[in-house]
Amino acid sequence: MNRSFTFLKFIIAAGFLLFTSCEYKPDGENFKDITKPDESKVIQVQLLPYDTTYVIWSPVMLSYIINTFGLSIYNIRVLIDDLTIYEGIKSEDSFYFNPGSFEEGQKTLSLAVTTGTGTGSLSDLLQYEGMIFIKRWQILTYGCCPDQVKITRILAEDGILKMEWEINDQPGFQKYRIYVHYTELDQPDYPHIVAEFTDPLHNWCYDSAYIGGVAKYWVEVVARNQYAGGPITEINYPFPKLEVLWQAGDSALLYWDRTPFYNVVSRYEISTSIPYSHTVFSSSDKNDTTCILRGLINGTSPELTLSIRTEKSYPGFFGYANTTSSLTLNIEKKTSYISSSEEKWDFPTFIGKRKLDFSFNVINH
Amino acid sequence: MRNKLILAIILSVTLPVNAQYLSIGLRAGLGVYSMEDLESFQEFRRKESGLPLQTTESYPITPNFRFEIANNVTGLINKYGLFYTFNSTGARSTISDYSGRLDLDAVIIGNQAGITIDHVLKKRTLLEHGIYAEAAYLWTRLKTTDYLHLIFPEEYEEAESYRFKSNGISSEFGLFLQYNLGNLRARMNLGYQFGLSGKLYLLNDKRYWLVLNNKSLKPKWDGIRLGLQLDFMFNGSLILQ
Repeated sequence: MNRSFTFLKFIIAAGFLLFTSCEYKPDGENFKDITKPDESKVIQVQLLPYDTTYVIWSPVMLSYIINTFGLSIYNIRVLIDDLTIYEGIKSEDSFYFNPGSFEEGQKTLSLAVTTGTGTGSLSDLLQYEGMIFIKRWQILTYGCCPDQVKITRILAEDGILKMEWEINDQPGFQKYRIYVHYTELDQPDYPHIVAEFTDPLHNWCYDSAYIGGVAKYWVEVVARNQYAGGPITEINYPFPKLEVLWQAGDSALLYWDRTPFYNVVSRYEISTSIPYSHTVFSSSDKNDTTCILRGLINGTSPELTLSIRTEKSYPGFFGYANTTSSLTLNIEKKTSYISSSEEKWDFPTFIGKRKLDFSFNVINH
Repeated sequence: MRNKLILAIILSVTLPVNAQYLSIGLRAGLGVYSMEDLESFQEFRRKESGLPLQTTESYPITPNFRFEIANNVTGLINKYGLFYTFNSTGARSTISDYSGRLDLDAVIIGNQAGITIDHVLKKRTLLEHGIYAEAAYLWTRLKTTDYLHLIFPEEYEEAESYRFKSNGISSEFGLFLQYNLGNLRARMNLGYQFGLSGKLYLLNDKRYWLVLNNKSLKPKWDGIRLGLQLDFMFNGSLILQ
């Protein structure tokens, strides 16, 4: 009896063990005898336009042609140093490179091509196994904006305003553009272009329109089709002022300081509104600083206005008169008047050409 | 409670008869099943992988194991009893090389619990032969596993499994040959099983089931089964004591 139960227990235990361990376990193999990838493989990479070193100062389109000799291309990346600027999978394509997005300097342009190994292994088929081919080029880039230049000096040279500025000889230089804004004559925010120079070493110019007053100058550098305006330099030299040096009877001797920029003067004119508006003096002598009026009407107080016209003017200047100065005479005796700057008169000895000291501060904004 | 239930079942099949012997048997057998749907499913998985996988096994002949408790009587029916059968088979599509391996495995387990009856055609000798019939409740579990293990150029391992279940019924008819030796009885049987199973639902979500080409996939346990069984015989008074 006990033997029977023992046997029964054995059968039941064996049955359970058997069942639990008898789940089907697939064990088939399909091993492919494939050799590992050949690490000495090479591919052909060509960058167009072809060069060994690239100097890039403006946005360019570069092209590449890749021959992998049959290897599948998984990924192509173009990097500037560590920054990816292009990603694709085509064996021939173009990419855009804007050096303005980078700091200036020497950089490495890398073309990284990730391909399959071509072994046909499981990792290869799953694109888990691959090769990375990297070709590098040295490039020299220039930044988004050209360097600014500032005006270094403004002076009167031979009776004309001359300014000088720093040189910008960066690659891609296109031109200097010199601006002026005459604060007292121009509309706000409407400057004039004084001159443009395409020679990077030409760092000076004249302004043959400036006689006096507040003027703001700055130099804009155009390079790589981009613009960089330099700091503003403001000057403020007083306009020549009309003064009465001597008056007797119906005559008066008028005087004005010769501007340091006398060489740009095309004409001096003095006008009055009495008895009607008309010009009483006109001279094209750039060195003129005096005027004699005779025949002034007795008992009047004519307002005399000195206008100086320049050889050059800019669109938008009102009345073509670059500068004016006025005074009022009180005449006691009635007579007729004539005017001539050429007529010789005996003047007090102090009515000579004054020595002009032209010096003022240059204010950089 | 469960033990009492089992005891009640045992008593129900043993008490109503006279001159009876209780037998407890253990069977190991081989079965081959059609599994057409699951073979198509395996082929679908292989093709979907897009890799040169080879299906190395597809629901081949596999062992099955059975536990049986029965009452052995005289008359038209010479044995009737309860049984549980554990069936398992599977499929694999695989590839391996120096860089690693990928296996798409499917393992299916069929559990059967049912009743069996025997009719001995030739009696009164130690060697008997006869016919048998069985009917069972059939519940199936399918587990698919996608296993990827790469070792080159770096180690990478990934496995994804899904489990499905299906319920159904089965029946089997066949011939047997048995040899009595005291309390032991050795038996060999050969039969054909018919299976009728339902859809293979995702184990934990009956909203989803396997469909291929707009056809619901079902396990097909139809096939020939060969078994070798060893019974241990008790007489009826032993149980009643």
